[in-house]
Amino acid sequence: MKRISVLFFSLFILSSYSWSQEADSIVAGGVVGIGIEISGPIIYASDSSVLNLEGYISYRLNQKYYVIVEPGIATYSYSQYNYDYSSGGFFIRAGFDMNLLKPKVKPGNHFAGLGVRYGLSLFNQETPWATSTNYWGSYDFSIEKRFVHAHFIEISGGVKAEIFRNILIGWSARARLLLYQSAGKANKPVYIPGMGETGRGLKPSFSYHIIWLIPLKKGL
Amino acid sequence: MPGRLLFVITLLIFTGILAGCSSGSCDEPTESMVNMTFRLTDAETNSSIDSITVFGIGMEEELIYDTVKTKQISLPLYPDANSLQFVIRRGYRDDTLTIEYESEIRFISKECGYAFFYQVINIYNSHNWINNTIIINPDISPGDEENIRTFF
Repeated sequence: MKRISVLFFSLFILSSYSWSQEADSIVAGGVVGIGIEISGPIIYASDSSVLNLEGYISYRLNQKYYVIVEPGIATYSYSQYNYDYSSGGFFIRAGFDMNLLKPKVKPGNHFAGLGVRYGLSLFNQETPWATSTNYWGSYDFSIEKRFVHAHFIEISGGVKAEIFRNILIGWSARARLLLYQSAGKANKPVYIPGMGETGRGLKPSFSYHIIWLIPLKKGL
Repeated sequence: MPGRLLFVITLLIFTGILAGCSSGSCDEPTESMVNMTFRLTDAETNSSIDSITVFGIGMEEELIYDTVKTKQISLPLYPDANSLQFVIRRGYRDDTLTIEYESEIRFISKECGYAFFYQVINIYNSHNWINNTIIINPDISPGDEENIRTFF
């Protein structure tokens, strides 16, 4: 876990350093970005209880705004002294990013700004074993696998830097708020794919991306 | 200016993230118990009762309360049953209290897991020292809110 933290911190420094060294640039529309989120598989290598595989698709509308779609799949398992839990399914987040960098001189692809997303998660969850113990003794029970859909919103802030021509790396810090989940009070999900662990209030997260830009027009 | 603005925004997000971090332990009460109070038949307020001993029928070797003076007792329920009987002993006189109920499971939190909540449907008691028992609040949840009241 320490090595992973060092890796991500290094990526953070590299991406922040890269964009800060070049002049702010004019950013034109008509560019598609395709990428992957890289922290999910890395975290899974050290903690196999959660696997998050996530893509990244963007379309640059103009110098300031981007349309973003992030599809993915995730699985989660958790066990403690009084219950076991698992969930897994698909998710998609869609929204906009706003680049706070002001364009000045020449075409470039750096980004530093904010984003907002709406998220939809479709997944199954199951509690194969749980126990309750009191004066009368122990009672073992289970909750069968059920389909759940959940809706959430996300705000983010992050940085992307062009390290090679049309290849970007970047990170973002994200906060998510659950709007609705169909499982009800009795079977609230422990983990929602695309959102993370549930609970009160905003749920934090970090993402690290590698992105390949595809200009749709010549000269971009 | 954009650099400073981004720094402030990032700092706010990081602060929010740290504030939202989980404590990692279960800090909430999870056992739902029937909270029972006592009142003299003609009184307007609840009162303490001396020398109360309480145990479940079938669990005579394990006392829930052993010769205590108290204003309120809490009676545990079992999720896989819909009726339980308790012996409420005052001094040397026993009465039996029967509680009929329904149970419902709820997820509390990742740290706490699941807990059972109950709905009291009916209560019966014998009449050696207890006159009457009534339901004040049939919703049984973790906490010390009064659920049933015994008149003696």
